[in-house]
Formats: sequence, structure tokens, C-alpha cells
Amino acid sequence: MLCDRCNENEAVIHIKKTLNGKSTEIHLCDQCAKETKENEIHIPVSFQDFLVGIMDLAVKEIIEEEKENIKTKIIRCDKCGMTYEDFKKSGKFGCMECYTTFEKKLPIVFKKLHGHTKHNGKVPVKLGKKILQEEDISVLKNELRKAILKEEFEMAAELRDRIKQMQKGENHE
Amino acid sequence: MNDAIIVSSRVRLARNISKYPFPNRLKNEDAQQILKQMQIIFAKKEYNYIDIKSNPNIDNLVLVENHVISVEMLKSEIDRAVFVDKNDTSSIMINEEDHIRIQSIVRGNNMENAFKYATNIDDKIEKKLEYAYNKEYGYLTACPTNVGTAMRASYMIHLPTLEVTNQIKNAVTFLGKLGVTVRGMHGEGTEAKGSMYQVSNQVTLGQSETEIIERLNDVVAQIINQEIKLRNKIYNEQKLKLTDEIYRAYGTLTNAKLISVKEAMLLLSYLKLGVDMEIIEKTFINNIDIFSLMTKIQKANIEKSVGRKLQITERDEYRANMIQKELRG
Ligand SMILES: [Zn+2]
Ligand SMILES: [Zn+2]
Repeated sequence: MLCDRCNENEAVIHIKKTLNGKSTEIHLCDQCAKETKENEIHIPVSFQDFLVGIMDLAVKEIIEEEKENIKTKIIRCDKCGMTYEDFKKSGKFGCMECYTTFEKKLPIVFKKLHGHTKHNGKVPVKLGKKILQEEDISVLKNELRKAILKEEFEMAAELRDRIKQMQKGENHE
Repeated sequence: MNDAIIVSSRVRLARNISKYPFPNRLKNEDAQQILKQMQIIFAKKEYNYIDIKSNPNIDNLVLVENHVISVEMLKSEIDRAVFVDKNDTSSIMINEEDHIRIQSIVRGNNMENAFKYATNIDDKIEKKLEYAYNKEYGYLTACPTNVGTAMRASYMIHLPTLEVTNQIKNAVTFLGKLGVTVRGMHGEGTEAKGSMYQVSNQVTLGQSETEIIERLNDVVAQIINQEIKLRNKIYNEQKLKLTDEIYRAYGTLTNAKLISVKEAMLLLSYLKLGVDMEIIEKTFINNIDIFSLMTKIQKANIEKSVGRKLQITERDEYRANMIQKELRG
């Protein structure tokens, strides 16, 4: 039997593993066994499904985290071109879209600076009205969906008209 | 007494326009566009418009000394300007760290009015354009330390006895723990001169404007209490020594031929303490406002009043003369 790792030498070491009820074996030559720890074994393609099991969960997590880090490094604000790295260096946002672009990172930053993560102060008059209206519309849209599902079409028509009217009012401003 | 210790009350609101990147990423054409928009909102009748780029450097420095604009305003590359309310209560900086920085300063202990003036201007601007704002984080600012209310409320307070008895360091540490920042008379990084301290809120996210002001008031009240206690203690235990110091300060200020800004600030601080503690009469110093004089004797203010750049000795001479004229009348 040839070694699973190098596919060249005769396997002399046989490791039995039981994973998810399936029992599998790894066969290694003397040299490969010395060179590798079990977890780091490069497993040939034929062992694909068994690879998932053998991979340590922690290792998977680390890899996921690294992928995430690479992603945030590359995250770039569409409006102003700022990356998260730029933000960390300068300590300044480039535009209001940056707040959406770096959304995931902000609660930690704000908690550290302010001890809070949510605004609790003034709502601007004009914008405030708009925000409230948008909220009302989304509530009505939800009800409309429910009405359609329940086949209450009279109700649905009424809701649809109210939404239309509200959207019109919004555009007028 | 509170009114004498609190020299002024100030509110600053930072605002951005949703359409444009913040000033650190702003193209100059857009900066000019913003200035144009603001000129429509702030009519010439009520506001003086000062273009910082074309304004003479000396005049810009005077604006900094008088707390009309920030030092940061001088460093920026893009087109920028300040609108100064003709009643002299408010100024609006355009294209500083944020597109709009509204500032209202009221003399004495009067945060209520400072807040009212700044809010009126804020509402007036919001009618004409759309702010960078969202429900989650409130007013969106270039610096994450300002997000939320984007409001900085601050008091300028005179703490000579806390300083003289070396208790000011403890006081500053105490204030820091309560979320209050302490800086010198001319803002970030400047040392206190004339025992003048600017204290302001640190947190802008998660508290309402009213809460921020109330908390600041509570903390400032405690510091003022300490200062008053110390003043009374010194008055009761060392009245003669204190009176002697104050008259010596008066003597130097009214007779010196040369005086540096540092010495003048220290002695004027003693003089203010003397007036506030009623050790000397206000009429004795010609009823002048000492805090205003503290501003007038700063470097740029002196050079502006003389009309040219001065050597250090010349400046010290002009300063000494100015102080004498003011005090003697
Ligand atoms: Zn091998
Ligand atoms: Zn951006």
C-alpha cells in the first residue's frame, strides 16, 4: 500500500479514525509520518469527504476570520473611495456612506468612545418627518402583504391606495 | 459669584450635507458649491462673510484669538469661510472638519441661550438642505468622536485658587472620569493661561442634548464649589497676603514698561480674582471687563491694533501701554 501523502513510498503507519460514525484510515510512510502532525496531513483528492471531518473546528474558524479580515481591508466606500484601513489610519470618515460601508465595525468603535451605540438626541424637523413617513409606509406594505396572503383583496386594495397616496405626498416635498 | 467664575458659555454643533463627501474627501468645486449655498441662507444683512483663503493672515489669527474660528480652520486646503452674526453671538464655519460648524458663545453662565441660538441656526439651515443624518447614529460627522448629537457644550471658567494651590491637576483628573474634557483658553492642546479653563462634554452619542448639558452643569457646579471653598478659606486665613498680591498685580500692570503675554495673563487673573472677591472695587480698575482685555493683549490682536508685525520687545511695550490706558482710563 502506498503512502496517502506522497504516493511514492510504502505506507508503514496506519491511523484509524472514526468521524461522524464513519471509520476511515490514513496510511503514511515513515518519513511523512515524521514530517507531519496528523492535522496537517495533506490529504489526496480521493479523501475529500473525510477532509471536512478531520479539519479541526478551530482551524476552520481561524480561516473564516482571516477571510473576513481580508474582506474588510478591501471594503471600500462607493461614494468617497475610503477603505477601512484609510479610516483606521486617519480616524475620519470620508462621507456619510462610510457609516453604512463600515457598519459592522462601528458598534465597537462607538462603544469605546461614547459608551453607547445609538443616537438618543435631536431629530431634524424635515428629515424626521421623512423618516417617520418611510416607517409608516413600510408598516403598511407589510400589512398589504399579509392581506394578499389571506386573500382579503378589498383590504389589500385599500392599503395599496393609502401607500400610493403617502408616496405621492413624499415626492411633493 | 458663579457668574464671575463662569466667563462664557458655548455650544458648537457639527453638521454635514448628505450630498457631498466630508471636507477631508471634498473636491474644491464642491467646497465652492457649498459656500454658495450657505451665502443664500446667511444674508449679508445679518451676517458678515469672511473668506478665510483671501482674508489677511493677521486677521485670521485675530479670529482664532477671539474664538470666532478654530485653529484647524487655518490649516485646511479647500475653500472655506466663516459667517459672523452681526450681533456677535454666533459664527458658522464652513468646510472645517465638517461642512458646517455652528457656534454660539454667550458671556457668563448662560448655556440656555447659547443652545437656543445655535439651535435656531441649525433649524434655519435644515429647511434649505438635507443633512447627513440617520436614525441609528444621529448626525453623521467626519470624526467618530462627534457623531450623534454632534454637540459640544463648553464653559470657560476662571479657577485661580485651584491653580495656585496645585489642586487643578486633581480637578482635571476628576473631571475626566466624569466624561468632561478640560483644555486651556485657546482650545485643544493649549495650556491654560490666566487660569482660564474650557470644560466640555466628551460623549455625543447616546445622550440627548439636554442630558449632555445637565450632566456638564452638574460637574461644573462641583468644580466651582471647590473654587469657592478655596477662595473663602484663603480669604479667612490669609486675607492680608491675598490683598497684597492683588495690589502688587495692579501695581505692575499699571506701571510696567514691558510686559509679556504670560505675565500679563497671570496678573490680570489676580486682578479679576480681586474684583470678584470684592477686595478691590470695579471702579478702581475703571470698570473694565478683564476677560475682554485678556483677549485684546494676545499677539495677533496687538499687531492688528498697531497695524503691522512687531518685534517681541515692541509688542511687550505696546501691550504694557494698552493695559495702562485701559486700567487708568
Ligand atoms: Zn509518504
Ligand atoms: Zn465614504
